[in-house]
Parts: sequence; structure tokens; C-alpha cells
Amino acid sequence: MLVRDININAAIVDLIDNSVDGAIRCRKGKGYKGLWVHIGAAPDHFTISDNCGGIPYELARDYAFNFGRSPEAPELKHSVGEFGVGMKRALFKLGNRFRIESVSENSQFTVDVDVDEWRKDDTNWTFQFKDLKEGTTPPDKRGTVITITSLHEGVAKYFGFEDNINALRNEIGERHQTNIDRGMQITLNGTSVVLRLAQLLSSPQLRPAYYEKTVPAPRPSKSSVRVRIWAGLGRSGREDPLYAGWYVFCNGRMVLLADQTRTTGWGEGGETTIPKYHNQFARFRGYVKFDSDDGNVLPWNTTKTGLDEESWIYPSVKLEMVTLMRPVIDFLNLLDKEGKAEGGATGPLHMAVDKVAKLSKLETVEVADRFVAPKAPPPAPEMRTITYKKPVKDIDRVRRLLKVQSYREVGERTFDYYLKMEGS
Amino acid sequence: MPGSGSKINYDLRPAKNVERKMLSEAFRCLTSFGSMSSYRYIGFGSHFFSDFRLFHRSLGITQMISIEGNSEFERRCRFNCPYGCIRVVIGKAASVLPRLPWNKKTILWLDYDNRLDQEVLSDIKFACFKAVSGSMIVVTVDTRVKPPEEEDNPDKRLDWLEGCLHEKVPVGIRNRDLAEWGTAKVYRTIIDNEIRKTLSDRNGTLREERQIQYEQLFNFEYADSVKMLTTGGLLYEKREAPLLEKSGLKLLQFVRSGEDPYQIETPNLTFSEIRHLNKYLPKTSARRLRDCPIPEVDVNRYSNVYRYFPSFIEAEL
Repeated sequence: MLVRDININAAIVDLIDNSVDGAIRCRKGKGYKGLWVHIGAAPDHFTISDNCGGIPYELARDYAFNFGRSPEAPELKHSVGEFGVGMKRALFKLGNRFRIESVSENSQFTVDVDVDEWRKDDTNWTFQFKDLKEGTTPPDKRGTVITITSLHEGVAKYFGFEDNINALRNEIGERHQTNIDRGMQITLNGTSVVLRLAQLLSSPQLRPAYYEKTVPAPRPSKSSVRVRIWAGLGRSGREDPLYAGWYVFCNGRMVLLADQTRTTGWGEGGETTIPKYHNQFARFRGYVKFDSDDGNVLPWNTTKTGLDEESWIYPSVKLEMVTLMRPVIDFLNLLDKEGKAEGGATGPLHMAVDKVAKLSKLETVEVADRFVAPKAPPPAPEMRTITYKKPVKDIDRVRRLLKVQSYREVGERTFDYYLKMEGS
Repeated sequence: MPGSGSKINYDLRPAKNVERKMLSEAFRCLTSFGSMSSYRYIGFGSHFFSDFRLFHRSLGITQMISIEGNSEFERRCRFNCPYGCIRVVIGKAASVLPRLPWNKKTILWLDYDNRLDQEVLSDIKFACFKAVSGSMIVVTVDTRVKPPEEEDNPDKRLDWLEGCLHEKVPVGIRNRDLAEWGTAKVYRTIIDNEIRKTLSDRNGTLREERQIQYEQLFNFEYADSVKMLTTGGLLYEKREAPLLEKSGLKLLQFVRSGEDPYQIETPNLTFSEIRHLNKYLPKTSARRLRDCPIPEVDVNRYSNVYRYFPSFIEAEL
């Protein structure tokens, strides 16, 4: 039996992966304009339908509905649905009855499963295909519709709250940003998922750090992995602390979202290299993109929902991330210091970040080998307060002599006078 | 880099002086990896620049960077900078090192005068991540575990050590392991682990022949007053292993590749005694020089370090 060890949002993100794999098959790496995925989530049912080419019958029969992915499964370059278990586990996670209708180029079929019934027969681990037809279908009729009913109690409850649906929509927007950016339209309960695209601030005085390297994968893979890292500042606003941190993508799929933990170097070196995350770093944004034709060599876990920190490639990339991050943290400390000083919000660093720099997409943002920060003005001289008490009669006399109004001015002017007369 | 420059004239510390010359002799062997002009030296010159003067004069290194952590010292450091090829950079090593380019072979001496802490380890980590093949990383630390503001207390040493280095402390260490030179041994292990762990991470994405190896060469223990540890060695690509053999580094008598240290012990001798011993060294063994009125322990110590031993004379310049 498959374990339902993922949360609801992750299960739905997984189901979208199957649509994305369909999109990769039918567009062969070109853009996704015109392709859509519609999701409906309500307490009594869940549907996901797409026009992404359907599931070829052979693929469904031999691999997609096998438990676990067969090593003989045909290789789909740059796939995100690499592990096969994703779709089935997602279906089991959400409900007790599901129906899959697929129309692909040369075949169409329906699979209808009542999980409780199916589970009773210990000897049968396969699903029955219904209405299997062969024959060519035009591209605009191809696609997949998955309907899940008899939702599990927790799932039904979850779909009953609008804030959960909104959170799901945001998560899809984050995690599938690459696909949405490539033209795929995703809707949830009739509302389009808004693209939450990775963007960084840039100006001639402020450049995000960028690093790129292509690394051959260990044998037996014959592929290589392209690693790209950006570190800089993101948009500012009240939401910042939620979105600050590192984002890691594998083949366009986000496996780590706004990470603020040791996984991505926060608190590194007992906080001497990088401090622990704190809200003064809320503008920090780091993005790491791993891309490979062979999804097996990427640093994601078997569910593709998280990062595999111990993978062959990640520790080395993390060293680079920490190195790129350090100057950004130094700058954010200066920015924080400026913000706390009098008139800090209009200080030169704040102006450079908030007024001059512009947000750009990762692929087009102007970058540098190392983070370029606006120059901080020389520090103001350190100030101290002097207090002392004197009889009012004497102070008033000095005040009249100095022709000033306040006691404060009396103090400052007498100090200046002494310094001028005796200090040089 | 940090404050001991205000307390100590490094020129006048005999063991430190010997150590510096031994390091210089080792660095000269690096010519099998590339000419000395292809190297740069990064150190903490303070305002004495003893290491910079020696390495420039004896090795001919012309690209030199002195990191000074105390900005109040800046003017004095610049004033005392002995050669035009030395660039003084103000800031902590942790923020200066990442700002430097790392495409050049480097001799880096992280010559701290404080105890081993996370900051030292993260500087080591950074250097091991960035240094190119043929680079030398050397680290010196004070081997006391006590925080600077505390009086030493043998019963608190393990707590101090764990409070400072957390999971880096090897399992099974007890307070009594931190007596005498014990802390130096623990520190060496921690530094060694940090270097090897960093290289393992770094090597994850490198082809086998390009993977970076570490050969420990130095494990000096010495005490001009405080017990100090200097450890470190060479980083080289696997394919360049023959260059290490060719360099002769491993043949130097003070080189130590493992846990056993080389203790730099300096004798206390008069000029007459030095002149007398020099007449017989190195041909005559220390054992045969026992007949002279110089204590045997000093004869032994001197015969180990005589080539590097400093002569101090009061001079009016």
C-alpha cells in the first residue's frame, strides 16, 4: 500500500507535475503557450483537467500505474515526474474514488477505481482500463481529466476553507512559476494562479551575485547538471519575511521555498560566517537552479517535494551559496544600521535600494560575479550625551550671556566654547 | 590579525622566529608547483610585518596582502608597511577573504593569537573551498580553551571547549585530555576534520583527477610564553600528486603529517656558546657535544633548530 506521507498541497502540486510531463512530451521543450491546467477543489470532489496531450496508453499500462517506477521506463528528458509514485500517492492521499480519463495522440482510456474495493483483493495490484480505444485524435482534443470523489475527511474539511484554497493557489504559483512563466495557464476554482516569479533588484550600483557551472553527473549517468545561483535583494514590503531566504529548483520545479535554515547556510560557522535568519535580512533572496536531462542526478528527494541535502552535488553548491550570500548579509546589516539612525529611511543606501534599483526576472537581471552594493557613506562620528546639573540661577545667567533660549543650547554652546578656546 | 600586535614584538620571540623560518623553507619547496612569482602571500602582518619581510626577502613573493582586523590600527600598519608590494586590507578575515580573487596560488597564514573558535574554522573552511591547487594553508592558534576574560580552570575546560565549538568537538574528550599540550592535539584534530570535510564537499562536483587533496605538513607546538599550535599543509589536485613528491616537502625534518607534533624548543644560550656549538654542527652529534659546560638539554634543542635560530643584538639604528 502506498503511504500517504505528503501534505495536501504537495499532492496537488504532484498532480500538476503529470500535466507538466505531458506538456514536455507534446511540446518537446518549446513554450507552453495555449496549454492549461484547471483545478477544482471542493469538500465533495476534486478535479484536475488539462490539455497537455494525455497519457499514452502504453505508458499508463506499463509504468504510470505500476507501483514505483520501473527502471525500464522510457526516459523523458528534463522530466519532473521522474519517480512515478507521485501521481498514485497523490490520488490515494486525496480520496477513496478516482477516475482518470485520458485522450492522447493514438489512444484513449478511462480508469475507474474504488480504493476500498480495490484494496480488498490482495492479489490484484493492477487497475483495470475501461473504454480503451485506439486511433488518432487531433491535438486540441487531447488531455487528461482526473476526478476524485469520496474525499478523505481531512481533505474535504481542508477544501472547505477559502484561506486554505488561497494558500494552495500561492504555493502552486511559487512552485510552478517556471511553467507558468513558459506560458502554461493554471487555474484553481476558476481563478488563475498568479505567477510569483523570482525577481531581484538591480541597478548600476546594486548587482546580484551570479554563479554558473556545468558539472558532469557521476556514472552511470551520461548527463551533466547545469547549476545557476543568484543572490541579492528582492522586493520589499510587509510580506518580506515570509518570502526571504533561498529557493531551490530542480528542472524548474521548486523543491525548497524561502528557506531560512541551516540547510541553505543560515547560521553557518556557528553564526560567524552567516548569522541565523533574522528579519533584518527580510530582503535577502537567493535562487539555485539545477537542470539536467537526467532527473535522477538532481538533488531532490524521492517525492520531488524537498531537497536532498546529502546528494552528491548539493554540499559543493552550498559552499558556493554561502560565499555568494555573505556580502549580501554584510550589506543588509549596513542597511539595517542606516534604517535605525535618524532619517535612515531616506539615507543613501535606502534610496539606492528602494528608489533607484528595479526588479527584474532572473534570466534578464544584470548580474556580477560578486554582489555589488551601493557604497556606504563614511560613518558619522560616534556621539555621547553629557549630563550635569547646575543651579538654575547660574544657568540662567549663562543663558543670558549666550543669548540663547534652551538649556540644551546652554550646554552645547559652553562645550563648543571650551573646545574652541582650550582644545586646539 | 587581532590584538596581540600591541603586546608582542614578534621578531623577538625565538620559537615564533624559528617557526617562521621553517615555514619559509617549506614554502620554497612549492616551486615544483610554480615559481614563487606565481604565488601570493596572505597573512596578518600587524605593524611588525615580520612574516612579510622574511617571505619577501627570502622567497621573492611580490604579491602580498596583510589583513588587519583592527581599524584603529590602520594608520600605524600602513606607516610600518616595509615594502611597496604589500597591500594592507582592513577588516576581519571572514569578510576580507571572500572579497579577494582566488584564481592565484596562495600561501595563507591565518596567524591568530586567540583560541580556536567558529570564526577561525569558517576562515579555514572558506580558504579550503576557494584555494587553487598548489596552495598552502597554515593556521596558528592559542591552545588555551578558556575565554579571554576568564581565569583558567581545569574543571571548566571541556565546558568552554564545547560551548565554543559545539559539535566540532570530538566525542569522548574529557577535562584531563585538555591539560598541557592536550588542547593542541584536540585543536589539530578539529582543524583537520574541518579541512577534510570542506574538501569532501568541494570535491563532490569535481572529476576524480581534479579533486583537491590535503597533505598535512605542519604540526608545530611551541611556547614563547603561551602554548601555541600551528598546523596546516598543502592543497593539491590529485593529478598533481607527483609534484608533491618532487617538491621534497615531505623530506623536511620538521614536517609532520599526522597527530605527532614537532615541538619547537629553543635553548637559552650566550653568543660564545652559540659560536662554540656552531663549530661542530651539523657533523657532530649532540651526544658528543655533552662535554662542554652547556646544559645537555640546551645542546639538544640548539642542534635541532640551529639553522633557524635567531641572534638578538641590541642595536641603535
